[in-house]
Amino acid sequence: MYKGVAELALLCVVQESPEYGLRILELLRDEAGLEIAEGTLYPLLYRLEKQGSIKSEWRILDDASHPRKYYAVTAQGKAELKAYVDEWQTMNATFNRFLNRGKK
Amino acid sequence: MSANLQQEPIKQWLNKLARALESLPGDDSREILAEAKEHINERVGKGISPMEVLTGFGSAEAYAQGFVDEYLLIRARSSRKTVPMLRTVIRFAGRSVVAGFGLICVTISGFFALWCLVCIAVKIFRPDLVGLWLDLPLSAQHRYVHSQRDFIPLSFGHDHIVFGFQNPPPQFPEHLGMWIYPCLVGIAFLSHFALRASLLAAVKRIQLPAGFKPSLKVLPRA
Repeated sequence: MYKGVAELALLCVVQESPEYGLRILELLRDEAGLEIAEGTLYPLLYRLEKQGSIKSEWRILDDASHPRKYYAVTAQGKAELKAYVDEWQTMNATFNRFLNRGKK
Repeated sequence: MSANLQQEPIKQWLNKLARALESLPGDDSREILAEAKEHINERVGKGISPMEVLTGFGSAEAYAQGFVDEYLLIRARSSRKTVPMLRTVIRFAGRSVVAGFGLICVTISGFFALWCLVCIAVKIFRPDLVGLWLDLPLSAQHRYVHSQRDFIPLSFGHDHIVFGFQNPPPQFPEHLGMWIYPCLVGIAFLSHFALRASLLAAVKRIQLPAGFKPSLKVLPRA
């Protein structure tokens, strides 16, 4: 059931602006309600980067005293995200119809 | 707890991680290490205990395995070379049904290819020990009478056809002569083709566990 959810959630987080690992973790926890561990997140980011869905860059921003690795979505990743979202919404709508059958 | 005591488990964990990542390219392992170190330091800086932070990563070996698995799969898929694909299939055979089945197919194909090469080598030095022996003409009636007399012209039983290496050689006539060489080369080629096809199919279909599944916990919404 969760196959593809990981990629969908991660691509969604980094589509607006580049984010670093800890911030991605917090966004997934606070906004998506997904409790994932560091040991799951970083290998997944590595996979997405290797397959060209995201790219990374070390940056030092004003609020940080040390460099952080920021991840951003690529054009390929944007296309994949759109496909994931369409698939997710189709599945969601179909399953909702199934759950609500006979209630009307 | 003093700062040094706090840093010690982190140092140990990072050292273990560095060792576990040795099979990755240098740039990859350095980045993974730097990113883990940065993450740990930032969380510890926010007042979270090192042990709690390290718990999120799991053991250094298990954490590294996620990267190494990804790297091996990506390399095997992109290179399409036999040795990296074989290494990857062997590594995943205990954890993936697809890889396990692929390894069985690879073993069978590899055995046939090796058997052909051994037969060719033996044929060069002992031509009498390798060949195709038939004890009956292909058009002959079946030798054995089962429930009723049948007319099956050919059976692959040991008594009827012997192909390849046989020591001592059978007493009945050998039919292929020097044509055994192209036959063996052809079988070796087909076996190699089957081996490569098995590897490619297995490597393409191996799935790593869904990223979120082991630790998914939907939090109650505020």
